[in-house]
Amino acid sequence: MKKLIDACGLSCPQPVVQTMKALKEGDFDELEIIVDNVAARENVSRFLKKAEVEITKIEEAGKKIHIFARTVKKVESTDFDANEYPCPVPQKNGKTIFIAKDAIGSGSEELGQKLMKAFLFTLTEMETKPARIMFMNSGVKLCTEGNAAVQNLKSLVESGTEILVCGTCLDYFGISDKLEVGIISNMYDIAGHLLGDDGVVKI
Amino acid sequence: MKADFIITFLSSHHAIKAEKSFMTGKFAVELIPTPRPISSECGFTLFAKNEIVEKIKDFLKQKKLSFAGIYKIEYSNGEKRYEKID
Repeated sequence: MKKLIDACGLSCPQPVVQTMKALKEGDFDELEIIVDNVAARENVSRFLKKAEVEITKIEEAGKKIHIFARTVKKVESTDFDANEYPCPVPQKNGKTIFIAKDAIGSGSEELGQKLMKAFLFTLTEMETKPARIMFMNSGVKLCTEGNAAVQNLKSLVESGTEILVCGTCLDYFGISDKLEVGIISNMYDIAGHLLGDDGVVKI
Repeated sequence: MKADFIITFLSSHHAIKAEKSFMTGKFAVELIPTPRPISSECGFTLFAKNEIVEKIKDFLKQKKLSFAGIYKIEYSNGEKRYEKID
């Protein structure tokens, strides 16, 4: 007897959970699982191997992936830890942020600088990180030695955010040799990104 | 970044003043936005590592710095839980 599991549209670890349920019921000797993403294919395949179920064929038809398997013996118990079958979060970073000052807003420089520092910290905690941050005028100081924001900016770079720092501005302030994070950029690059496809937020 | 406890304040002036005092006293504290799960009068919060929590408490008393609360941060499964300890 053959059993069909349609796990399309389900995010991990649901395809694995459905497969596990079917194996527990076990009233079949052939199994076909349909998934619609690579992570689900990997997770289901890995789970089947662990449960000692033989994968006979994997077919890709358009966006759908059909996994065919055959049960060699009845699966008695299957240890299952959802953390073992994660769905990798697609690395999709969002907008371009343009920072042209080392403080947010005007009124109080001290408050503005604290707000800027807190803002950059908060970006590190957001699920969607900026695609890039571009620094100009006194904003470049945030990327240089001794600034409290450097650590947070480094953390953003690790998450895939690109940091572009205006070279002319670093030179004007005489701090080109103090750059700690980001790459030196120019007006053409910066203008290009401002006019590019990613949304731009000016701080 | 890992934090082990945070201190909340009644106003941003108190928070900024406390940060200055701690910096002068060479304490490794950081001014961050108050985490969402905590209700506080002020949007700024100080955070620091667990190793110095007792020293921080002593310093707050010694310098008569006013604060609203101290919370311990517990990490589990990538989530943060906040527990008021003072």
